[in-house]
Order: sequence, then C-alpha cells, then structure tokens
Amino acid sequence: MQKETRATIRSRQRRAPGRTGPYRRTTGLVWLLPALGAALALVAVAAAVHQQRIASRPAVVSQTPIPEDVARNLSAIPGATWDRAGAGKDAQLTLVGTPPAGKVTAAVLYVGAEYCPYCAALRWPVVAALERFGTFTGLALSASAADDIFPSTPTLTMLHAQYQSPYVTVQSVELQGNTRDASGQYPTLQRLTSSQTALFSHYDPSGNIPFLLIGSTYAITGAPFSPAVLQGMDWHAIAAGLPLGTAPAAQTILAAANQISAALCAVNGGMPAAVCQSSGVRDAARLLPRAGK
Amino acid sequence: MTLHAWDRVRLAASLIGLGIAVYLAVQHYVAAVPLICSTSGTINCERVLSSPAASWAGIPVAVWGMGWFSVAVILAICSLLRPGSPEPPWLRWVGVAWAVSGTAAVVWLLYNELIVIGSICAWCTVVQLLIVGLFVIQVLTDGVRASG
Repeated sequence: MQKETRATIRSRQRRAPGRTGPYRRTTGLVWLLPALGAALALVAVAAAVHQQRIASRPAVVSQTPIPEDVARNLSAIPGATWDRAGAGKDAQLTLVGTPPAGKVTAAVLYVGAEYCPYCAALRWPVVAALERFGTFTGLALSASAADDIFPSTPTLTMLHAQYQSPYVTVQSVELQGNTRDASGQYPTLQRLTSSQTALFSHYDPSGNIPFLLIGSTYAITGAPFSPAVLQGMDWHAIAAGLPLGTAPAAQTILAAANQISAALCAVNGGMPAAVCQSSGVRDAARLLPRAGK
Repeated sequence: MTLHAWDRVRLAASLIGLGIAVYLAVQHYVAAVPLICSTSGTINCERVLSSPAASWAGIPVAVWGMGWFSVAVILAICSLLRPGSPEPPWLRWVGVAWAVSGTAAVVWLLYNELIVIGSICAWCTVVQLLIVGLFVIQVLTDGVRASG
C-alpha cells in the first residue's frame, strides 16, 4: 500500500474544491489576532480603572456657595476681553418669535438639570452674559453627574440664586439633582410652573434640556459647545481664565456669552448701551438669525 | 468547514450588520422610527447614539457602518464567486485591510462606550461582534485563500 507523504497530502488538499480546515493553514497574519486581543484587553483594563476612579469620586452637592475668586472673575471681565472674544463662528441661537419693538425688560427662561453635562456647559455663558446686565446673588458650585457622559463637568447652579437687573428678568428651573437617590433616579429639585410649562412645551416640544428662551424670540436647545471643553478643569481654573479670555475654555464661554448678550440686546431694545454697543456683542448680533432669513 | 462555507458565513454576517446599520441610520434621521433599546442603566443606546462619539466628521457612525458592511458584502460575494481557486492577492489584501479597519473602529467605539460615555449600546455591540467575527474569519482563512 502506497504511503501518503506530506507533499501528496498538501497536493490533494490544493486540488480539493471544498478545501477543508481553513484554520489549519494560516499565514503570517495570525499575529493580528493576539494584537486584537491585546487592544481589547487594554480597553477593558482602562474601563475598569475608570470605573474605580468614578466610584471613589466624592458626590458633588449643589449647596457649595460660589467662592469669592470665581464670583469676582465672572463679574469683572474687561470690555476689551469681551470684544476680543467675538462671537465664534457658529450661530447658537434659533429664532422662535418676533423681537418686541421698543425698550422692554427681556424675560429669560432657563430649564435644565444638575446631572446634565450639556446644562453644565450652557450655564457658564448664561451666567457670564447675565452678569453684564445685572447681578447674581446665591450662585453655587455644582457639577454634572459623575456617572454620566462628560462626568462631573464643573458648573454653577442658579438653583437658589437671585438675579437683580433693570434690563432682564430670569426664571431658572433645575428639574433634577446630580446624584442618584436609592431608587437610582436623580431627585426632583424644582418643577415648572404652569406658565413655564406652557413656554417650555411650546418652544421646546421635544422637551430637551438644556433649554434657554430669551424674550420668546431666541432659544438655545442643547449646549452651545461640548462639555469636553471644560473637562479636566475646576471652577477656579475656568473662572480664572475669563478675565484674560485667552484659554480655549474661556474663549468658548465668552463667545457663546456674547451671542446670548446679543439676543438679550435684540429683545430689550439695546439696553444697556455699554453692553449692546460693544464690538463683541455687535459681532454676535450679526450671527443672530433674523425673520425671513 | 470549507472555505466556501466560511464565505457564506461572511456574507450572512455582513448582511445582518448592514441591516442593523441601516436601521440605526434611519432611526437617526427619522424621528418617527423608534429606537428599540433600553434607555436607562448601563445599556443605553440613546445615550451612546446621541453622544459626540457617535459621529465622525459630522456623519453618524451608523452611516459609516452602512458603507463598511456594504463593502464587506461585496468582498464576501467576490470570494464566493471564486470557489476552489486561489484568491487574487488584491482581493485577499483588500479583505484583510477592510477587516482591520473595521476592527480598529470597534476598539475605538468600545473605548468611547466604556470610558467616555459610560454606557453600552446593545445594537452597536451586535455590530461590533459581527465585525470582530468577520476579522477572525478573514485572518484564519487567509492561508487557504492564498493557496487555493
């Protein structure tokens, strides 16, 4: 009986139309499999370390009063810095109504939640802009949820804040907190009044937050910039960058705040002139959508 | 299992992946199409698919996935049309390069899901398993494709 040599076996396998056992004959590409395994293992280890870090992070409460340096830096941004910041490239506000004629007090409605990282991002330019038109008291430090996307994004909360201004009135609603309760839900902090519900459901029918309505004319739904801009910074570092306006986070916040300021000026008849006639706000006004455009 | 059978598995997996990618892309653009997936807890498709990581160059990853699986279907069909003969080198190398590109995207998406977003999208996981499976088949059958 003729013995089959390795060569004859190989030859027979080559000729066979339904080649069997493909995994038995491999090429130099097999190293790709352990490479994939190593990459997946690396991601798994990084995820485990990340989870451990999140678990050890202390929960942020929203009752920490705003420190003096943060308050000072927010309210004392030089006009030259505002003007240098300009308005950025993209229009952030949408036109949802007709601007009122004449000089009126602009009504601002903000709806958000403390767990929400996009709300955390929006609050910085909102507060910075409103500080040009009036004065906040009772602002507090807060952060988005530690277990959500863009975890623990530093922010300010208007939960217990008061705002005084001859030009603007502010209604702020933080729907939920930033730490889950025993049931795994974020606790309810504030509820919309019936008039706020009417505005919110009319101008933001999908109910997305954050939502900012300025004079029933301009609105922002969502964050004007990615919360990633603020990642790795704390409240002091973010606020400290604002008077100079050169850091990327500060530039982004100031440009968005100029757009919000321009919308406020557009709906209140251009008051105060020192803000509304500044070059940064005028630049931003050019980005505001107009009726028929 | 013959190479022909593995290529049929490739084709089936690519078609399933294409179907899921089409569903997720349509769901992205058509608000009336519901996203059938958990929206709370660790598995949260909505959170993943609405995150910045869910689009590259302004295009949703589902659309990129449609493109990737469409090419994977074509490659599987090309392989099926050549049973019993060595595959031309270009077909082998395009197949390998395509599988590697898909797998690299899977690793990047997994990183984003597990670390940046902190949630997992069930549909994405199925798609990722299909891509990794296609990669493994492509690598393990490469020797037979070369020798015919």
